[in-house]
Amino acid sequence: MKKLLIIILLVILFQGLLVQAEELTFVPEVTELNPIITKVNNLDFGNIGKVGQGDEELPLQLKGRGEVKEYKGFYRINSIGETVIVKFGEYIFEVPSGSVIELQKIIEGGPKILLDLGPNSNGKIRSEIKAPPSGRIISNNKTIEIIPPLIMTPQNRIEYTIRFQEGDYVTFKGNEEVDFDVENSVLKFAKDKMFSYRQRDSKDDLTLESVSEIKISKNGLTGKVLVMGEENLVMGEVEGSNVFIISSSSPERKEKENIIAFSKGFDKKMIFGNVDYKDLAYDFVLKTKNAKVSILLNDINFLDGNGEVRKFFTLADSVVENLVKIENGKILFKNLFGNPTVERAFTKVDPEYKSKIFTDIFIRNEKEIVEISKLGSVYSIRDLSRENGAKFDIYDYTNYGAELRGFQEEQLGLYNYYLVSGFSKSDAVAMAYYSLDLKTSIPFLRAGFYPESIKNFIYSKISFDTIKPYLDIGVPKREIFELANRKIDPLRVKEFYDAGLNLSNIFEVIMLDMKPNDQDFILYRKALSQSKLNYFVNDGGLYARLHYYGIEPEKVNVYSKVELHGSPQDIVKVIKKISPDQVKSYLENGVYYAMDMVRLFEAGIRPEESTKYRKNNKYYIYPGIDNKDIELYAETIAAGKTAKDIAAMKILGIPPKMAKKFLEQTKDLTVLTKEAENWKEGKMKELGLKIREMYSIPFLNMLYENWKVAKRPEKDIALVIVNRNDWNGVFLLEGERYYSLFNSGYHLLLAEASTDDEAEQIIKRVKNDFGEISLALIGGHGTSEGINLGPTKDEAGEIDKSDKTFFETLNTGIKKDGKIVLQSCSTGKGIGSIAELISYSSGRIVFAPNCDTSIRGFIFDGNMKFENVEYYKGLGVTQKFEPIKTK
Amino acid sequence: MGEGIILKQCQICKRGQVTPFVIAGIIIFIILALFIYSQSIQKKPKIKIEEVVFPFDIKEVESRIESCLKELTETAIKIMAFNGGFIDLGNSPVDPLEFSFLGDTARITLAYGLLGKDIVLISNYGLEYQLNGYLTEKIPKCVKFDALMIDYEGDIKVDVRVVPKSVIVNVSYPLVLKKGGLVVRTKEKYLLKMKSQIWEMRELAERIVKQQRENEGFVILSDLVAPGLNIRVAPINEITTVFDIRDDSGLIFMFGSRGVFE
Repeated sequence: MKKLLIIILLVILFQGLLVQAEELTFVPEVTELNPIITKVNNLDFGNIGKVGQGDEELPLQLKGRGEVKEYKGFYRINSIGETVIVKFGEYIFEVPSGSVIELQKIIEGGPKILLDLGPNSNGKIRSEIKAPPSGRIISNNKTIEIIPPLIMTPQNRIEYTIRFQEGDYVTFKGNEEVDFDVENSVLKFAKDKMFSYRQRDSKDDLTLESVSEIKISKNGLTGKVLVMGEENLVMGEVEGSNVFIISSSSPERKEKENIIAFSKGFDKKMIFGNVDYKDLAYDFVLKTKNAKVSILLNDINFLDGNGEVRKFFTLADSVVENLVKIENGKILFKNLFGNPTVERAFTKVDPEYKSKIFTDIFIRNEKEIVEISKLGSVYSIRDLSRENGAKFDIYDYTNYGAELRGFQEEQLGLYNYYLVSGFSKSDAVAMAYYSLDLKTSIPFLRAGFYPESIKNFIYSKISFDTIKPYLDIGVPKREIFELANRKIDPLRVKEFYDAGLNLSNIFEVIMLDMKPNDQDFILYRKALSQSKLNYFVNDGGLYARLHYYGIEPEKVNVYSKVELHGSPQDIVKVIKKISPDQVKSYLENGVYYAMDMVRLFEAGIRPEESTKYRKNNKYYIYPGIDNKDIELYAETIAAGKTAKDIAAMKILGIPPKMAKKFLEQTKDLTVLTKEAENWKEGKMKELGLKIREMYSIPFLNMLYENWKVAKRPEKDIALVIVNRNDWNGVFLLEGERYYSLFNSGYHLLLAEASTDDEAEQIIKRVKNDFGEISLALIGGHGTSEGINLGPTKDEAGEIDKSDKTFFETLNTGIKKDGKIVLQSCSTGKGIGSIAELISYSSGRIVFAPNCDTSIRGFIFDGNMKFENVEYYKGLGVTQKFEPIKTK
Repeated sequence: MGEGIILKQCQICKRGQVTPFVIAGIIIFIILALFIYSQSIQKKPKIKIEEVVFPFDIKEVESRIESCLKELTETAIKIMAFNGGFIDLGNSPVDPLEFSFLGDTARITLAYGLLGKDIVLISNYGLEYQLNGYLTEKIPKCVKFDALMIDYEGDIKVDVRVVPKSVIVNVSYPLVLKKGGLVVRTKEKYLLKMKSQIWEMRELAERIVKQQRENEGFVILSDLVAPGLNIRVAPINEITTVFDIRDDSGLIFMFGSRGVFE
């Protein structure tokens, strides 16, 4: 007996060794091309492999007869003869007869399954689990059912249906590859798939085609689809997130659901929530926002909520977009041209679309109704809700002509005259428009000038004989007006051209009395041509500025390897103020533009800190805000608000969270909010200011604080006196420019005046309350005879040459080394100008322009003290009047 | 009761029968006196003119001033409206909008109403101011005293008011005309009230640009009631639009709008 037991044990041991040996022997190399194939016939679940889920390894089990192929990354299981049931963890899948299921070995976020229904399934799925004759994928309590019919087509195409919950299902036609996210009950598939779709209380199936990748869940469809009508005619396009697309005339909505419902025949649509819909029949694009919208053919009715409608048409071979917005019960309109922001409705169907017959549409809400229509050749949008409602006719500007110019009889006469004289239609139109005299104009026309520039010469009384010498030298036409208007001797220009220097903006260098053979000029040119600034080598403006700012040519050499971008004005500022090492450092930190560099530098922001002030490739720099504010108000900035807006919010006491709320309600805090308006009104009243548009909230706040300062400021005083007779609004835009005086370290005060007496009183008050003034700026429309402050042109409204007491007040109110800037046209023009007189009478240095122009910017020295002023018409226009020095 | 009143009235009538004739007589006398006086007044200047024998009809000068005033005002309003509110676009606070049309060979220039976030539209006062300056400068030239071969002295003062439905121009231009050693004075005041909707047009333009600025380029249709005015829009590019407001008289107020709302 013992022997027998020993023999049995030995046999078992031997067999065990054999099995082990067998197992050791059969370790096949699993590759993508060479799978391990195992035939299985299990009456109950038996292990066939392992599936990894996170850190866990789940046994993969199979029940039934099938073939298991194990590839490197997945299993492929064929059912043979009958439905096979595959199970791992909590997941159970049925593989119908003759079908194949592919299963990833590693699961990330739920199993990914490819189910390939074989021809032998014959459209039927048999289940051995649970009763219904439907195949299903089961995961815990969540069920995605595959229900019949499952039909094989002759082309080996199949049709199958996926049900999410009672009544909702999607039917696919074709050999579709579909991802089942079992965990979340979401079905995903790629674009360009056509399928039948029915969800919620849909009366019929809808045929849809995916335009983008699609996700479908019990919450609706996410993505973009075309909605097909009869014979697969495209009726519209729907895009959205979790949208129920249903067929129903009277859909019901549960809270917060997004629904678009089509009536049978597609005449009527109902939209709830947030849905984008393109209507291909009436060529409009609709975007709804928490809305309830009913569409009957071409009538779009906003029953509730907000949204926008875009309607397109073609003007001059370009697509124009009429954009109508429904916001808080109001209907707003604008149009966009050239590059409409949204792909128009019809281009999906017909990319070459140009001239579809335009269809009128109506957009309405409870109170308003507007029509976008075409009458004859004119497109228009019109408010139909009221008598005399606004109507905008939209025209093609490229065909603006004599008609649009509204020629009067005399001009029409001229137009015809020019036409019969042999001029082109366009020249005739322009000549007539400017009422240009033919005799005077002909030589200009023959020389190739456009009527528009001829107008400048004629209006400025510059004859052709005057400009001919410039033409003879070879000066380009675009440069001639600036030269002739400044009466620059052609021989001065010739010197440059003879030296081979055909500079643009040549007037700038000549007005500064530079000559082509000046040592500076030669050295600048050499330095520039060898530097990365060589693209400016022919710009007179740059030479003029380098010279004007007193920059040594060697200094340009120092910057030769630095790549600076921007205008000559900004580049010269960089060279003047910022060392090459700092410039390099700014560049390394992504500050590429000279303008940004100057702003950062002047605000005292070091290169390594510059990124903290950058958002969306813009720099947010403004007095009163720092990099922490930029972070705190990040959402506000993301919504398109500027640094100035942030500064305004801080002043108004609007914290970031409230700013967000404000932004949802209104767009421009500085303009719209009642609080801001009241704040502004109160402060302006207290300071006696009336020119509302000039003051931003931060600027006004700064002025207010400066006027109300408790004790005499230690900083130098800068006083701006600005006129109240700004008839063309040119001073309204100056507020920010004056701000730069504050930024550079002055205690800036600003007051408005209508008369010379008022201006005098202001100066006296400032001297008494704040101390002597270092810099005074007087702004008003001017001539060489005087500066206008008030609405009348009589003596009281004007600072003129007879205002001796005013000049005396300047003398006593301004520091001995103080300076006066006149922001006033032509006040420095000619001998004995008002500027010269002011300098003489007040005993102070006065800066003024010698022509009609306005200030481009102030120039500060290394200590950020005012040094000079640059006017728009070039550096040469600045006249500096120094008083006669007495011992 | 009624009869009693009638009787009382009759009694009063009877008592004053002579008085009406006296009153009538006085009235006739006054009328006659006034007539004779007015005749004498009317005759006086005729006698004067005959006496002075000024070799030129001053009415001609006055009528020239009147017609110049009318024509120049009309022209100035048209130019101003067409340029977006500026007679001379060089006075626009920002460089004007220029664009090409008719196959890129012709261009049009006009002032902006909105540029960036700034409203740069001319104010109503700006219109008045320019008309003032224009008329002050142009009227004396327009009268062409040289062609009339007369010497003149006198300063012109113009006061323009641009108001709803009209432009009112008050001109004070008292002239002393001299010719052949003779001197005569023209009348001092000229008043022109010209029908024009430029006030409405500018005002509508202002509402448009304000709405655009406050609504990221949108206009609120329901807030733009514009009786008798048509608005044309010519989009130039994605952010630039030309607006053209016109009335039935052919007046066109054009302006550019280039909003940047980032």
